Amino acid sequence: MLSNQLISDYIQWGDISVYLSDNQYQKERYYKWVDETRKTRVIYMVNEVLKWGQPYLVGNPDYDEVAIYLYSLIGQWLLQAANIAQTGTGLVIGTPVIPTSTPGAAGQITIQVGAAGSPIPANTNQYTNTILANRVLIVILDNVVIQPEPLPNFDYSFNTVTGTITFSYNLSAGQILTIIYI
Amino acid sequence: MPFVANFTVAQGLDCSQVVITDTSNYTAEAKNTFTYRRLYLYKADGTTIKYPANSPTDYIDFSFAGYPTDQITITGIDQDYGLRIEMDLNSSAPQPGSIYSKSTVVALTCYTNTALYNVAQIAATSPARLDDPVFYSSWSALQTEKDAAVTAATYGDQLSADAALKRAKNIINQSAIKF
Repeated sequence: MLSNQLISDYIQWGDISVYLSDNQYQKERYYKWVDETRKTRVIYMVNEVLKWGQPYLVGNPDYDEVAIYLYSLIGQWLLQAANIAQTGTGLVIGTPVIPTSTPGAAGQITIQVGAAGSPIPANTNQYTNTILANRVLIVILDNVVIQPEPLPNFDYSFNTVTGTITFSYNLSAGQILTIIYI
Repeated sequence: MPFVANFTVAQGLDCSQVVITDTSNYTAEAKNTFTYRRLYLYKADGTTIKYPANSPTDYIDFSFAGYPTDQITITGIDQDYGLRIEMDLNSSAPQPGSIYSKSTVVALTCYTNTALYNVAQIAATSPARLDDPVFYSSWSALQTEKDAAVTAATYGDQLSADAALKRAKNIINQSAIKF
């Protein structure tokens, strides 16, 4: 016998699965010419029946069977639906949570090595800026995108905690370092 | 604070019944200041549902003496209707600003919902029935009519609500063919 709480969960997951499945089936129809959109309609209709019967029919074996049928229909989206229902961070309910590791907007830093007041003196190989901490970087040196370790030749390592970039070779005066952080 | 007439309408699993509850605030004006309380259940064709069935009047006597809990269960509902329900109170000492009548449109959908439940049960026990296009399209049409009735009633459109419920009834009546 399914509990009232479980029925409530099924109904909530059903509601969420309606838009998740619709999103998927509409894409299928457009890109693959496979039309399964009526499955979304079936989920909606079974879910509406569950909603109507919940105040009166919980505990009834026939009602349980309909609830289990809904559960089988939404199986493909169940984990996602349960996650959305639990966190409230889905597309419909609540607002998306921005990870704390990206506290601000994307930006760009351009530095001329060895220039007066430059944070990168000539013949050094390190630059630290806390704004880079926990960011994903694109590092461009003299208009060439360079890769972090373990690629050979000229590369750099990046400490995500401190925001420190350490190049494998010292940088020379006049080189232009551009960092795009996201 | 002025008196404002108000009520709610509910249906349970027994589709032949509808429960109307007077939710007016009688602290503003005491019940003994009213000489009568009446209900009118207007169908789309303008006639009324009579209760008791042999009542000689168009209204239902929802008297304070007869219904001290302010709730009445009206029986004998034979099908789903788009109804306009009106509750009228007559005050022996009317107060300025008070409202003694309330009217609202409701869609009684119990019979349609029961049919939808039965169809869902058929699908649950025999999922292959969904491969039958008549089964699916009839189920979907029935759901559409129910949703249309509820939406129409929300907007106070009694005629559209009732028309949708009549179409739903036609689908249900052909259930031997469609389901």
